[in-house]
Amino acid sequence: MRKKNQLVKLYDEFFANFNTGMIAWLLHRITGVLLVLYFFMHAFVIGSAVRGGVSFDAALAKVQTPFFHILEIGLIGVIFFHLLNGLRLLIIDLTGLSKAHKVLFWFFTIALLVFMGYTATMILTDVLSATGGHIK
Amino acid sequence: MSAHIKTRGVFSWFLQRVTALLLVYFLGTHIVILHFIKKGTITFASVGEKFAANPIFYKVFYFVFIPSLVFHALNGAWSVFVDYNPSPAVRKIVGLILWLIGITFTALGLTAISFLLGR
Repeated sequence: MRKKNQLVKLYDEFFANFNTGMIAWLLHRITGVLLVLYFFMHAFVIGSAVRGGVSFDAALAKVQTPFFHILEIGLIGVIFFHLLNGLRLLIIDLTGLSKAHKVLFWFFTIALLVFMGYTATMILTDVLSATGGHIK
Repeated sequence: MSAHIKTRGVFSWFLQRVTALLLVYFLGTHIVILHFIKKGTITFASVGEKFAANPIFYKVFYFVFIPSLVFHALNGAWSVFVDYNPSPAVRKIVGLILWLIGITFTALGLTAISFLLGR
């Protein structure tokens, strides 16, 4: 009963305070959970190095396909959202700029979009040139 | 709630911020090296070659990076978990599991890096 009330409270609070801070909080949490899940997969792939070079190369070959390279655009987006929003939180926590939190939110959002535009273009260009324009 | 629990909470809050700043540098560099500078397929040999060019740098780099990342990830997971107000007994079990996962994955990560460095 206690747990259910807690969830309902979080849900109500989210919509009662629907603004940049709440969106940032929710996205920080979702990207955080996604990154923990990604980290475990990453650990299993890179951890194959302890079984030697042959295992490592076999594991790495599975994740160095056009499909995974395109997914990496999403991965980099998730990482840099979490990183930039984390920096925003540190700036708010440790400096006197808490009143500027919304300006910081939009500043970092634009920075992220510009950076992701560049990243997506770079990765897609590489994938397309490596596959001759065909993505399976 | 005892003062002991409060003190531990402040310590992990502080460490979460310290590791956050470390990760801005370490994860930022890791991503730039592996996704923006690298060209070609990553293999055991190609990583070994890159590490061999600057073994002390890479060793220190990953031996600070991996424990920081594991702490930040699992402490983050812990704060999400605590937000849903679990009972003290459940907290204890989950806390213990997270510590075991943390130690295991730090050891695995550092061992993998040692193998890639050629020990």
